[in-house]
Order: sequence, then structure tokens, then C-alpha cells
Amino acid sequence: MKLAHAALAALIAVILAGCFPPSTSHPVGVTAGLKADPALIGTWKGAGDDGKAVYAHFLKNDDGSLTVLLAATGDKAEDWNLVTGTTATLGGHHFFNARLVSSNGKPETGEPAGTMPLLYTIDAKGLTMRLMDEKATKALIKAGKIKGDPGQGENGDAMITADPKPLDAFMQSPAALAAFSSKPLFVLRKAD
Amino acid sequence: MAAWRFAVMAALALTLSACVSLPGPIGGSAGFKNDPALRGLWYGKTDKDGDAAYYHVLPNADNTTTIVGVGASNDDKGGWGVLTVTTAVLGDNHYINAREVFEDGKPKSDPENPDTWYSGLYRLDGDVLTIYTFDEKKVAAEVRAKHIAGTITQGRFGDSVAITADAAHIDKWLASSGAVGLFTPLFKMYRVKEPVLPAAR
Repeated sequence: MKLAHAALAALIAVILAGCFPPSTSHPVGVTAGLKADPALIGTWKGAGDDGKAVYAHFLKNDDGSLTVLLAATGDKAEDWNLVTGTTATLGGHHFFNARLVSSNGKPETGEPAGTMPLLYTIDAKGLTMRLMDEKATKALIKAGKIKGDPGQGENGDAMITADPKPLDAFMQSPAALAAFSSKPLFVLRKAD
Repeated sequence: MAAWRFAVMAALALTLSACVSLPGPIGGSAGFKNDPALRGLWYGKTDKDGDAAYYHVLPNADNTTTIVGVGASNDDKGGWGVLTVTTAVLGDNHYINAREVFEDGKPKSDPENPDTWYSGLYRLDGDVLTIYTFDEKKVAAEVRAKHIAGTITQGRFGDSVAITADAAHIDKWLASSGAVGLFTPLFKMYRVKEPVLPAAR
């Protein structure tokens, strides 16, 4: 699979490497209501490491969830990936709870239960999405700031297991927001 | 199903009208080879409904191609589908065979016809790709004239033609310059130009 060149596929590449980003056993935003953010719907375009275009199609489902179809284009780009998720807004902050479904039509296996929270913004730069930083999340769990499993050692996958109410309260706190990586997973611009 | 969702699948699957059926994909005797000119992103809109979709054409290493089609509507429920495609060149004619493998997120198979491929002709003119489907009346005339082996069944909505010749005969039949006249335009797609963007990292 040729995923490394595609910034959009970075999330998947991380997962395929066996190191999952921090996840939550409950999606973020249950207490506020999980809805498909209409601002996301449509086709977004970004660039990979090599400057070639990658596309993300955000599609709304009947149940209020989103399907995201990622496709990389270019001379050597032959991958498509499927992600499902929900969105919620807490304290003015936008969250996307993502779960990888398949790569090139083949179901993903080995993914932790739950969903991976991403913090996103839509502004003049486009759509920016950030994953939680592994070390920062582990530190918060170990410090008792939020209930969870920091995972084994440095490479173990961290999972926040707090119930929806304390989870949602925590995720809009300065400490949690600071735990999202300063480096965006990707930045996309609307293509349609 | 919203109208545009249907359009995505209809266009992708070469209408699936299947008024002309073949025993196998076109080009089976000549061999399939991916056409690099098809690689990339295409955009299409149906004449009838004006429904638009993106089509990602992603060649695979085994000389098949995956086409991922996604509806381009911002205000409706999302729809997408996936085809597995093979292409072949017979004479000067370019042919495409398609099989739907995902529809609206679910793997799709036809238990009664697991090996069914829907076939058509395509032409690339600059950045415009036109897909053609068989004209059943013209193919029926070919069968009646015994230019190719097949059967014709008359139905309420016209003839249904089943070509029964083997792959070698079908490929020879479709390699002639006159074979283009057996097809009728179905759908146009337009290449999406991909400006080189600043690298993300």
C-alpha cells in the first residue's frame, strides 16, 4: 500500500504501523448531541508530501454519522480509504470521532474499540484536523486528570475510558485542548 | 434513494442496462491492460438530472483498476460506489469492463451471476472521456446477419440480445473499425486538473 506520500492518509499510516492515536471508549460530545456538521459535507482537497492532490469526500449518513472517503491521486497513488465518524461541538470546539473502516475495500482489523477524537477548525485556511498527542494524553491519564488506560510503555495505545459526561467536560478543558497535537494531521481546502 | 445517488451508480456501472449481454468481459482473448491515460480524478454530470459525481480512477498492480465514485452534492445524503474495471484494446478500439463491488458502503455481489461484467467502449478526447454502451438494435441486426453468434429475445421494451460466441470471436468482431458503430454514447466525464499544491509537510 502506498500511503506514506499522502498527508490525508497519515492517520491510516500511523494505524497500519501498529501505533494507534489516542482513542476514547465513548465518542466525544454525546452529552451535547452527535450530529453531522453540515460545514464538512462535500469534497475537500489537500496535498501530500509530494505536493500531489489528495481528496476527502465527507458524506452524510441517515443516522447522523459521516462517511469520509479518502482517495489519493497521482502517478503512484492507488489507495482509497473509508472512515466513519460523528461530530459534536463542545464549548465552541469542534470534534470529529473517527473510526477507520477499510483500506482499498478490505476491512481494517486490530483497531482499538472506540473512536479516535480529532479537533477540527474551519477557517480561511480551510479544514484543519488534529489528533491527540500520544505522550500528552498518557500524561493526563497518569496524572488522574481523566480516567483511562495509558497503555503499556511509550508505544502502548492510550485510551480514555471516562463516561460521556466527564469525558465531555474534560475535552473542552484547557488541559485536554492542549493535548491535541500542534502539528495538524492535515489541512484541506474545499474543492466544490 | 436520492436521484443523484442513483446517477452515481448508473454512470459508474455503464448503465447496467444490459440489453446486450456477453458471456465474459471484452478483451478476454487479447488480454487486459490498464490504460494509464485513465488514471486520476474525473467529474461527470448526467444529462437527464444534472447530478454530478467525482470518479477516482485508481489502477492496481494486477491490471485491474478500481473506480471510486462519490456523489458531488453538498445538500443531500452521501452516496458512493466502487467498481472493479478492466480495459483492453482491440484494433483501434478501447473497451472497458466493469463490475460493481461496493454500493453505498456495502460489498455487492450478484449471487446468480457472480462473474457478470458490464462492458462498453470508451474514447478519450483530450480531457473528455466518453463511455459508450451497446446499441441493442444494431447488435441484434449483427446477430440476425450472423456476423456474431447470439440469441435475441423480444421484450416489452425492445430486444434483449445475448451474445453467445466465444471470447476469441467476440474480440475479433469488436476489433474492426466498424464495431464503433455498434455503440451509442452513454456518459461523458471530464478530467479534474490537479494543480501542484504546496506539500503539507
